[in-house]
Amino acid sequence: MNQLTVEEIRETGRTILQIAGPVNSYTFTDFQEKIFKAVRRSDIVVDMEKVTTLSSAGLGVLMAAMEDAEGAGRKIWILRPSEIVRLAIESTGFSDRFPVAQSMKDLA
Amino acid sequence: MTDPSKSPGFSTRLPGDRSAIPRFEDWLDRAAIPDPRLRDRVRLAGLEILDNLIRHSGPLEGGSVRTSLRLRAGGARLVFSFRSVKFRSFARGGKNPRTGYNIEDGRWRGLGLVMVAFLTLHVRYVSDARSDRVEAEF
Repeated sequence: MNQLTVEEIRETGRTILQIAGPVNSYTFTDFQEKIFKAVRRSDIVVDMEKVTTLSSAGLGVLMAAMEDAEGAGRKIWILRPSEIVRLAIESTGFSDRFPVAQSMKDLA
Repeated sequence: MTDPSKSPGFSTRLPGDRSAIPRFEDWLDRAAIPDPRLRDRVRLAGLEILDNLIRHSGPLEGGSVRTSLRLRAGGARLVFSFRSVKFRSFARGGKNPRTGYNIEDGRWRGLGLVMVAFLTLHVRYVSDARSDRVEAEF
């Protein structure tokens, strides 16, 4: 799969972004646009179960969105990260900055 | 293109532009890397290195990157070989770009280098008479 898809589901008080495919410097723009818009209006859940790769470009978007969210008093969760997403996050040395949940029930 | 699953040493020639990214992934998908953790490390680090080559070392002379993967017990060696004037000056004493959060544009810089350092045992940037290349050990 070489295409990235970003599905947006709006719920009361939060937005769920379901991401599938590779997140890299050539595919991340749709993800970037949607997460930066969403963080202005609600908390965000980023479902990354079907993400096949996550590059520094994609991680940079996530980290910048988290900075914006903190500034706006909002939260971002990473839901069900695939193994490669977990490894990518770990490789940045900033694992503690990424709140991870395995199910929607785990979201505080 | 050599099918990685049918050769002890796997190699391919990738274009020196963004179309190399999905082609590298497709090629790596066929590699018989038995350890999933090692496979993910090679994939993430390889994509970062290749993406940086294309974006910062281009245009590559000849317009392509020769990519090879060799598996050994418990590890792997991934090499990107090419020709690039920009890379040559970097490999022969250029400084690594600064990494960190750039407060002015709100973006992270050099995160890929941090990732590659974590994901590999070591990386060598080489420029000699044979070629310019990045050699990554896992």
